[in-house]
Amino acid sequence: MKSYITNKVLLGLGAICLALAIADLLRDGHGMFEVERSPLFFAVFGFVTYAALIFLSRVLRRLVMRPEDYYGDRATDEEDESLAGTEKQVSGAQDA
Amino acid sequence: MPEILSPALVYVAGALAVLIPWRAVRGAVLLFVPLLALASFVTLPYANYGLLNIFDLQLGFLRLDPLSFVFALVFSLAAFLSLLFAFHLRDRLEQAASLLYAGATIGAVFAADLLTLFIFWEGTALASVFLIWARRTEGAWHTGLRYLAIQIGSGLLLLAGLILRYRDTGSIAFEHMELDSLGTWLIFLAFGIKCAFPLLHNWLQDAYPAATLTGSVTLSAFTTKLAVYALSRGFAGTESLIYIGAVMTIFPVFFAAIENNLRRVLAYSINNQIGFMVVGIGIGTPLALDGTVAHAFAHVIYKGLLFMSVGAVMYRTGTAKASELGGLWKSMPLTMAFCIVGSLSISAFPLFSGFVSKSLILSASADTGHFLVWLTLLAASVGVLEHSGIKIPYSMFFGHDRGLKVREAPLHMLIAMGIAAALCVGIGIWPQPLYGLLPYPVDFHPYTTDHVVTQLQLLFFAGLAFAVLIRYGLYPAELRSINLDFDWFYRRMLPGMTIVLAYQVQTGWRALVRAADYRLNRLLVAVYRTHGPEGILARTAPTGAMVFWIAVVLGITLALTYL
Repeated sequence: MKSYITNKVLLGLGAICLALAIADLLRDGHGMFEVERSPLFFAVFGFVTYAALIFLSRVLRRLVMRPEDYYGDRATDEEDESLAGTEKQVSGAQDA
Repeated sequence: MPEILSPALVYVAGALAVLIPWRAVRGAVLLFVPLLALASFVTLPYANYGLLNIFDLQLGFLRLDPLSFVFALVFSLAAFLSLLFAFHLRDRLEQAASLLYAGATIGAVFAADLLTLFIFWEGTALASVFLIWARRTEGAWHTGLRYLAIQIGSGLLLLAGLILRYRDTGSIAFEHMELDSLGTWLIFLAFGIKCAFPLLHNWLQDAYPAATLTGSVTLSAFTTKLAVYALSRGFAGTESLIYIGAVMTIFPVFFAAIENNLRRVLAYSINNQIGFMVVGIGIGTPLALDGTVAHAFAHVIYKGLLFMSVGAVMYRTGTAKASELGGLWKSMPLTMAFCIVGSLSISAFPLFSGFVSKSLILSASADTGHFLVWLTLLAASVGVLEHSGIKIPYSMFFGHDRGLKVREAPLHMLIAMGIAAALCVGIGIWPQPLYGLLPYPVDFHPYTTDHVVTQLQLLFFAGLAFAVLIRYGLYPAELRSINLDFDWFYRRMLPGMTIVLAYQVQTGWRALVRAADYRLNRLLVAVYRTHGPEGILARTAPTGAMVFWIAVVLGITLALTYL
């Protein structure tokens, strides 16, 4: 299946990020905290946090993922979602 | 302008409009209700109206001040947009519930005393549960019951708290409180439940995806933001809120990243966004409180927009599960555009509303030297980008093309989303009118070179991480599944424990009965041995034996008497 994130998209994003990294020079370097003033702090923080978040989520998923029918008929998880007021249901229903 | 008791009554009266038989006329008339209610207070000067004295209790139904005004304004807007989004509805029950829910929320915002607050507080619970029950399935019925139990429970805590407070202070006025007595703690907890504090949060992820697709748009706007209002009125500057809020911002992002149901992703996202506001309340400086109010205002709009775009996709495709969606950019381009505006706003991209409101809270946390809190909020901002900024639009409109052939969303939904999107961009580009509404005067300039550059660096490098992870197949796949959260304890473990306990009691009781039975049998056998037909006491002795023994006794008696 084709992915929307092609090498072109990746390169484009990379180019924007490069431009933003260069734009780091425009900062006048004030900030409340020491780390804030270090070069490229926000860029590195963004990249690393995002990757760490996804990695930790994958670990979490191993612990907590269950099949959809886990809570049985006391939850809506395995119900037909088209019952939640979708077009299919509305067009077929009588005036309530 | 005639003085009315509370604008909430306009909504109550307006709910009668659901009796109009023609669907389109009814839908149009309902749209006027929020406007009429808004007109009833928008021109009034700040003061206390609707004062009543009942049993020596001073009630106030309409306290108009900067804080209540800005919340009532955004709630009116949310009511209007959600009614417009639900213009096609035939379900009168749901329409009436939406109006009463919005009315109760606005009534609660204007309450000047805790008793009035309690009445409207419970009103929001009672009205909103019908937005879940409107789905009319067994699962929705059970989910609604769980939701109602928790919401009503919050109201009862509020009632207990206000009674204790009345006993302690002799006043039921809803003012700033300190956590120094059981009464205020109970009130704090009541607010905390509706605000979805960590571990008290699961009603949100449980209930919102169970509502109808129009119902979840309405639900997303009111309850939690009412709690934010109540906390900023009652507990501004309470330090524990800083840490509660920081936890709230960070833990939902992990759950949101792996959740398949997009409406539940948005429910986790509400948790995360409310966390920012709670931090602002906890810091309690004018800048922080302004940040909370501004963020609540922007949040109601962009979160409503995101729920609307998921709702519109659901309306056409019949599902909101990421595992069933994808590739809709071709068939629903306008919905996609509006959704992306919502995503950019919630992710706080420059020129969008989240940027100009969230930065107030981040600045306030930095100014007061809360380094770890600031760092947590920064990480949580990356988390927002992950689930609301990227995952929501990506999984619906791009992701895996499932070959869904659907039409663009209906016109009224597009208009509702369009207005919300315009407001998101408008506030982002021109924040001054919003800043002008805030309770404290603000001199804050979000568009400094530093701020724009650092924010763009944060977001784009995080986006780059996303692209790399997707490219190399490391991003969590969309799987039909659910994830256990804290609600497992009361949905699975406690009922499970009850079953185990019931089994233990039953077995214990049976053993007890068996033991008693055995003892009783032994006793009866012993009694039978002496008293039974063969027993010693049942033997028939000859009459002569008795005469003999009497003679013996008489003889002994005589002998003893005369000796």
